Amino acid sequence: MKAALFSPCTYAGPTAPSGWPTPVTVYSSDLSRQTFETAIEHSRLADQVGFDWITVAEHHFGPFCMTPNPMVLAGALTQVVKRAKIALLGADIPILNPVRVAEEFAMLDLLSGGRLVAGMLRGTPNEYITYNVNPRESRRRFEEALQLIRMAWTEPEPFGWQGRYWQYKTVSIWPRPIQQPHPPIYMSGSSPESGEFAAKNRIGLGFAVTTLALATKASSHYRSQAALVGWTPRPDDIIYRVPFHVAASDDQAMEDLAAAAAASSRSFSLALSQGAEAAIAEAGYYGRDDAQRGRVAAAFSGGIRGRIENAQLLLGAPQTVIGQIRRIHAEVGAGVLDLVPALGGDKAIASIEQFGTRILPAVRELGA
Amino acid sequence: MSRPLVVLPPAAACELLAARLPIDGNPDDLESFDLLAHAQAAEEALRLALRRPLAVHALVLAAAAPPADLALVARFAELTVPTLAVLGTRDGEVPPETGRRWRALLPRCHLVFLYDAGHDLAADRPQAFADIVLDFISDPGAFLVNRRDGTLHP
Repeated sequence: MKAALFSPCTYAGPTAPSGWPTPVTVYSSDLSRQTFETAIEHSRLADQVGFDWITVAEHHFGPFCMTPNPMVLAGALTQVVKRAKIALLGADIPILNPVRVAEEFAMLDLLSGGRLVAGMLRGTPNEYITYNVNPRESRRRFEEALQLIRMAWTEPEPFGWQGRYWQYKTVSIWPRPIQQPHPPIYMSGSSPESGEFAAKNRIGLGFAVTTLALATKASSHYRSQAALVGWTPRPDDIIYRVPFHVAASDDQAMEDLAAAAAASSRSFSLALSQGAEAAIAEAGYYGRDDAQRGRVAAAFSGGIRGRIENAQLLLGAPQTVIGQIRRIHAEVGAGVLDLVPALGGDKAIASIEQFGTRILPAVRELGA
Repeated sequence: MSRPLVVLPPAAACELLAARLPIDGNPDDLESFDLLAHAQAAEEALRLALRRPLAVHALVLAAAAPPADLALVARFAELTVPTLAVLGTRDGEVPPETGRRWRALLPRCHLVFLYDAGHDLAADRPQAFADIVLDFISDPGAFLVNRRDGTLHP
């Protein structure tokens, strides 16, 4: 089992009470700087204590994750993180310029000495509003962008691209990725469509904002689809993202979490207006198993114990968390845990240290 | 654009192109024409371009691979006609990598991948195929430059 640290650059101060997009009427540059310094410090520490990957992600127009272009943060991390891979999970390729994405990924692979993990995502539904792209086109744009990026990395001759959504007369990117033929590609998605596409294109698959049961079902679908086209995903091909908090004892961990919840009522929402949410659902954004969304939302409202039971949270003393990880590995077959600190401040630092020194050595052999 | 387009084989002429310019199957009577060759007809088209270098204004090779005749291939270095090689990204018969061979053999060759098209480019992506052919033959020298108006609300 490998571990990734995802320190999501969540804005450290109070914000105007609002859904998405969040106004910037309450805002501090100093606090934003602190946010980035903290994320870089977490990443440096995680690298030192043995984490395998450092993750960055793309979100727009809100305080929850202040990396609208994760490539920029990843560029900084290549100079701080000496050993771990730098995982972009990911670039929201349907709403971006795919040639630019191919160029930026290639630069990052070079700057990191071949340590790039190239995640390419459809993004959360609100991102389609960000750059004014019809969410109905999401999957088809994703598929075209992925093929175009791969072509830009691998075709040695300048080529034009006559696509459905993008047209270029000539493409010949410099520099090229160090990893050949190209860096490992991952996509995310618990829907049957995502699993089928990942299997068909022989790329890795990540699960986030899900439950153990749903991820197990999606992972099994991915494997069976991969078998149909003649390959077997390795544990490293499956990523499971989950918040974590480690303390000296289970009771202490639970108390920490409760205290943090009581001290702060901040909850960053990606919620859209009902009309916008309905329009996105109607556009087919969620795929043919749309009912899954309701099951995930219900599981998240199940309280701390419910979230642990559903593997939506790793919480407790190291030995307890090891047991929770074994369960995710056994049921989902995931070989990479993408870990988000559930708490901030010293608690986050201590959790990262504990995870690297006490937990990782014990779960390293799972699936290896 | 009054210059006729010669399509080889003639049966491959597609409606979208025919709607935009005169299609001709018999280049012998023509002083100047554009030439579009599908698949195996590329060999005949290239022989024609070598035989009548001043008559062929622009050449488009669709889902085609270089011919096996090495003596013929050796003569491609003489060609001055601007050429566009179009290959479908899903073409199992003439895969996209074939473009590299055209680029190595033809002195003035642009390469374009037609996304999500198999071997029959004009059937799989008719509008996209016709658009790229028309764009190229209308002004091969300016092909790389976007000449469309991108204004949303003039």
